[in-house]
Amino acid sequence: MSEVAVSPFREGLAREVAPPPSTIVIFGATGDLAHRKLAPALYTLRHEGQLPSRFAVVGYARSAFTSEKFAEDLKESVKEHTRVAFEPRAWDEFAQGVSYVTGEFGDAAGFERLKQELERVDKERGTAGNRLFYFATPPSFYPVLFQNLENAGLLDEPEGRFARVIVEKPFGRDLASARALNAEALKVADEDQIFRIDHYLGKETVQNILVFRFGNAIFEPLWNHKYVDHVQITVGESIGVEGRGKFYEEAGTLRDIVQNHMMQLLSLTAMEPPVSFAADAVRDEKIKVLRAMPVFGPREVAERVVRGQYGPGSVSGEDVPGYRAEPGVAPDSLTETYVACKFEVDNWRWAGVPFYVRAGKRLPKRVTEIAVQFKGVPHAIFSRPGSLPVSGVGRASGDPNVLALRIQPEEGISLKFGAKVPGARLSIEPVKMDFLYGSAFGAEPPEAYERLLLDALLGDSTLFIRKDEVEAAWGLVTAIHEGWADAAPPAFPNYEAGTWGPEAAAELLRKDGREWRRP
Amino acid sequence: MAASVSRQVLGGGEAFQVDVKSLGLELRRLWQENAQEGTAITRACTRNLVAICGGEDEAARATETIGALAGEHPARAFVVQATPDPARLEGFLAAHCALRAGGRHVCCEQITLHVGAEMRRRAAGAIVPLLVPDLPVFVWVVGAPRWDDPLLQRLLDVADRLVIDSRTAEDPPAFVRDLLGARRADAWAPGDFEWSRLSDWRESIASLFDEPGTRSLPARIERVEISYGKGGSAVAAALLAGWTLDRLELARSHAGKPGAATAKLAAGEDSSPGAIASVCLYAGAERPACTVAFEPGDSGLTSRVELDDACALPARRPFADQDVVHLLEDQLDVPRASPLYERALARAAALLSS
Repeated sequence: MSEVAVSPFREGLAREVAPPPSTIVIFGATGDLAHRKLAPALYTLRHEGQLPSRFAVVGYARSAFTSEKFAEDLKESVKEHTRVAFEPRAWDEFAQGVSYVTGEFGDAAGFERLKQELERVDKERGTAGNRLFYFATPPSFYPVLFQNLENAGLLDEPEGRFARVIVEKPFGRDLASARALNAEALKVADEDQIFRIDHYLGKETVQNILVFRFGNAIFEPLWNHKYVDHVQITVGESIGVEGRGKFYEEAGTLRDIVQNHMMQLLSLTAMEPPVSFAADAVRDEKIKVLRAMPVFGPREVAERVVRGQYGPGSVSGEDVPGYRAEPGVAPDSLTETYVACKFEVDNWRWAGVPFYVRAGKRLPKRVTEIAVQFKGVPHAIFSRPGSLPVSGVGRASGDPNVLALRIQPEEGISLKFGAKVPGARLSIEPVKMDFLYGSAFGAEPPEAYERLLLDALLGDSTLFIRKDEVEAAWGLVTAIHEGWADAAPPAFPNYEAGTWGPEAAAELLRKDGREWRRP
Repeated sequence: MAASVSRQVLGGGEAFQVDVKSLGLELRRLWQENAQEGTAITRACTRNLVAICGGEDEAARATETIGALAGEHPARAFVVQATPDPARLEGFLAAHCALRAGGRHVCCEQITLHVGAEMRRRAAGAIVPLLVPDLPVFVWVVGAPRWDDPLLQRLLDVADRLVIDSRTAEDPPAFVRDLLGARRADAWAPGDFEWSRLSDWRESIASLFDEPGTRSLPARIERVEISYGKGGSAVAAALLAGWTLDRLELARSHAGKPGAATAKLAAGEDSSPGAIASVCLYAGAERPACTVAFEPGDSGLTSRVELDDACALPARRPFADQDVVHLLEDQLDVPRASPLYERALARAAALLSS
């Protein structure tokens, strides 16, 4: 492992450690992810002085490009997607370290060419043999990429150098394939060389869940079954499949959202305090949450999971087609575009507290939030017979206290509580106290990929997902898929685009005497 | 990209005059009236900010700056404008609002006080009770501070930070000496626009020592030479030299190496008055071991390690906007004392008086 620089000159500056000289190799370098996310993130990091001067980017893909053509294409993408000003001079400096190797992902000769190119870059750019390989390819190529990197000797870590791999989600498509992929990867690399990315963890507001919970003394005492009635997690999108119908047919919402983003949000919400903010301390606590969640059998799947698929409808004032009419989607598709589940975390802290989660496409708005709904007051003094007439919190059907952590958009935290309406009458109305992230802090938060790329260069895996987390999450999700496979085919479509999902999802909470929030 | 934000001042775009004795009441009325208009307003407040201004121009600049920061650094703001009439004390209220995407207004208040020379203590008496509890108090002296001003003295009793601009100093050694003299360890901590202006210089100097081949270099640096524009204040150069010497001393201490580096400030023609042109660090030879400077025709800073065995490429860093909005924003981001700044200031005082 290469050590990060620690210098007295960095004390008090924006970043107190700096990554070492290194090269990032992007597999799938001509693809959408590389152009829309990775290149702009790297340019921004360079622009802000967060990358070492001795840094290089090597693209690898099948298209027969020259390095010049690759750099020119990246430039256009950076211009379009960077969040900082595009400066030709800064770009020219960045582009001096950009090169490209043409090759198939399964082609050993291509990897030999890549190795030669990396040796040339090390020599000419002084990148010291440190390599970060980014798999921005379809997951089916991951095993062959790992194997060819190993065959070419590119995963070796001689003294003082690093070779790390960032793997994009989905890491597998069920428990068996995730295990097989982990086994393949760990045959050729150590766990601490593998950085499984879920870009949600790079979002400032997701990291703020931990700060909010463990950096403040007043919330944690309430954060348990004694005071929390239930938790709702919503990951809603107003868009449809946006031309990715073929991909979505293979994935569905359960694989695309619930297995990764949703499970990460749930485990951050429910985890115990880690002993430190070190990578394994945090991940040890997250995995305990996933392990405490019972794996569903067919009966639980039928009772606790609702799936849906949108039909035609109207979103944001525009008529939109149903899922089955999207390009690349089968006209009789049974792929789910909506999932709602009632999970439980069977441990001391959360016994009896349901975690209702829902994720879907073509919902009324794009929103991701975690809402912790607290129990009512133990004794409703404002609704005693003979007392002054009241409304609001004291009523059996009144508004409970809700703490909502909004991840996107309008990132922030709100707390709903009851307050007396001024006047002789004792009337209690709910009021909301809002903290808007953007109103309290001037600096624009970095893009998730900027943070995660920098962390990977520094070798900090706190915000990446460990093997056991991936497998535990797949274990939960695969059981649901198996339950669905045994059940009768669903009657899709079952919700109108622009609504909050199928009626059965509302019923899932209604039968528990609860209802979904309107986020 | 950032959410679109536009700014406006409630109440027809003008501040309205209020009785200074009932400022608190008027503030409540302001929000009640706007709540009744049915506009979705979020009041936000993350700090108290008192701007002490010399006259109309400075007050206008402070108002403009506070308004520009309203959306991202909402504060209960006071602008104190000195007036020629010694017995004048008048108050005006306004609300700065930032309209965010989705139609949500984020608003904060500004109380402007026109204060004559004889009324400065009374003005402080009007401000202190209106400071929002539990939030830090920033006192921003827009021009040169007058340490004998009763208003400033009274505000410093409750302040967490005093923000000044040492570039405004007519007599830099006296200015730094007075600032250090006024500082009480258990009270407010100083902040300085000049220190904010040096951020990119400090980042660039730090980047010289990030790489494995240069990490041991600081312990070998013997001399620091900073060139700045002739005809201006040497405070920036002295502060940067002070910080560099402080960091070099720590590096030497880590390396167990005795001795200390020295610093030289050189006024030249290569830069605008007072602005830093270059930093050269010497490790015993005639030729600098490393440099940070503006290259010809470039607005960014380039840092170079000149040692043959260091294997470090030049690194360029854009030089950030340095208008007053950015400088104040940088200061507001730091609610506590900056020991690095204070150590640099102490060394700067020694350099400026030598």
